[in-house]
Amino acid sequence: MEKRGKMSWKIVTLLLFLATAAFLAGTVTAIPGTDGVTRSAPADPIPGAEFEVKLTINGERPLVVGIVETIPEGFEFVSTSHHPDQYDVSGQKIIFAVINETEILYRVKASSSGVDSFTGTWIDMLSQKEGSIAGTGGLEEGSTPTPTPATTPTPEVPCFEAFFTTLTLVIAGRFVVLLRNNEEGGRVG
Amino acid sequence: MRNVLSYILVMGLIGSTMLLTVMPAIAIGIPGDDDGNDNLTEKELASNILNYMLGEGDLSLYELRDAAHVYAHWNGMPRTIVDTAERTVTIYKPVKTIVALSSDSARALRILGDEDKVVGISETIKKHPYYFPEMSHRKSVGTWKEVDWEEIVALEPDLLITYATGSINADLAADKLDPFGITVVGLYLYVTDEYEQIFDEHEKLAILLEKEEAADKYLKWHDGYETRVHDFIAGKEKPKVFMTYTGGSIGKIMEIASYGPDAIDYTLCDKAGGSPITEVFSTKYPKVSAEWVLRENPDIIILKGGGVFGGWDNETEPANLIAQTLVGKNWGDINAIENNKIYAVPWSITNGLEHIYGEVLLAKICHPELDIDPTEVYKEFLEDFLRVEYPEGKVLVYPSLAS
Repeated sequence: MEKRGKMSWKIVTLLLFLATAAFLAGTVTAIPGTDGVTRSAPADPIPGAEFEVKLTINGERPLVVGIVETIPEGFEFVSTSHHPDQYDVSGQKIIFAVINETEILYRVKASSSGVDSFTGTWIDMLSQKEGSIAGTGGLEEGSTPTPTPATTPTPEVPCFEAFFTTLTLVIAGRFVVLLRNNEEGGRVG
Repeated sequence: MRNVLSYILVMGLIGSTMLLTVMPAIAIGIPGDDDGNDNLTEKELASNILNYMLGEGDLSLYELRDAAHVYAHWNGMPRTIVDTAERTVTIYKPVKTIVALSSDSARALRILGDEDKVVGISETIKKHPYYFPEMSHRKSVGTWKEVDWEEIVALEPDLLITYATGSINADLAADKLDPFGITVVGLYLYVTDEYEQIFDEHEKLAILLEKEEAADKYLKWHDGYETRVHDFIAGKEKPKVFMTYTGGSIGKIMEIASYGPDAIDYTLCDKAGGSPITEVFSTKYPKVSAEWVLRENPDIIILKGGGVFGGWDNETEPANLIAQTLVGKNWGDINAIENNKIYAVPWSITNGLEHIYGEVLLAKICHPELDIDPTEVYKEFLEDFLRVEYPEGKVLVYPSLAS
């Protein structure tokens, strides 16, 4: 009887721990700024033809984000509906300053010879977050690009989440093992 | 040998003086406000972002993030207040580091939840690790009357909080620190002459630190209790109260110190539903004789004592204070003595941000039927606002009140 009482106490403790972990994980993710930038582009553009690329800035306002898009060699930037003061073009790089907007459209003329991938990076100016632009269409980057310009990376929340989740699972696992051992010990006794 | 030591000493002095004079002045203004008109426009912010992303900008990412913050959260404008020294204080970017030169400002920072920003403290804060668990471990830069300016400059704080007047007053601090781009604000953050001032100062500090919500929470908590006390005592007969303090009453038969109508202790007693017998005096801290008190025959005697922070660790000390106060005074026939209504209360009840505890305590002493437990009020202040555990066993009034 006493053993059962001890067991239920441990189960309650485990549940409380998991609930607290879930709560904390939810809390730390709720920081301001963008959750990331994604790119939509045609999977198979016609060589030499113009097509539209859409960048979606995920997150709630206020949003202040810097974006560097690098279009493939041979491709040409044509135009954008983005505010004229808030973009610049340098070689294959298109730079956007995004202030309280969640979408950027720009047009590109495809190369007449073959298809290469787009790459891009973003820096959130209202949080410590930065990252690579994830593609949802066909012309996606193949590898993770180096952020431009070089910055001193700061600990990001997702890393903390991963660490915290791992820690939670390890502790929870240890708890289960402990419970089993105790249960077995009870039987023997 | 002596000459060598003298030489080293002189060079050291010259070197330390040079540090303050040679260090370059730091430009102030909103980062990215290229035309310097104290209004960061969307165009300016965008231009700086583009330049940075191209690797060509003047601003670091750190500065650019400050600029984005000012644009997004401050509408592109600096934050300005007028401090208690009547100086216009302007913040051009988020405050990330603070030097606090008093335990009063430390308390305010705890209430606002900004203790993590503190990089430098005064000795008083260092001596109270219980109330300031994190801050007390920060670098000490001196006392309320003498600080090490070089140490402060080396800490590179965005903001220094000091008293409006006094040895290290706001004007003096600004003279020393303005050249280094360190903003100085002069706030007492304890009650000096009137209660409104402390709330005003608290709100102003909250504006500088973007902590208006936390300040509002504190004010609502305070106002809630004040309203309850106010409503409860309305229309009730006020008992006659004599307020004194340990230094002004122990061992004295003549010239016992008290509080006149201009003193905050008098005001607090009045707000708590008591009628101070010193109403007739025109001075702030009138001196009275034991005989005068006997003639006035107060219903209650309040003796203020103890340290800066609330309460005593045991009942012996306040009991002794009361006993010493009564020596040689022949107050046996006074109502307060006959009815055992002489109380020792801690200094902190009247002046600090926790003074609502003092108001409730005095109200409870004057009107025992008041349905508020003063200890609970103090407990809430410590646990909800200073965020420290209530120290069980603390004597916050002696003798204890019937609940």
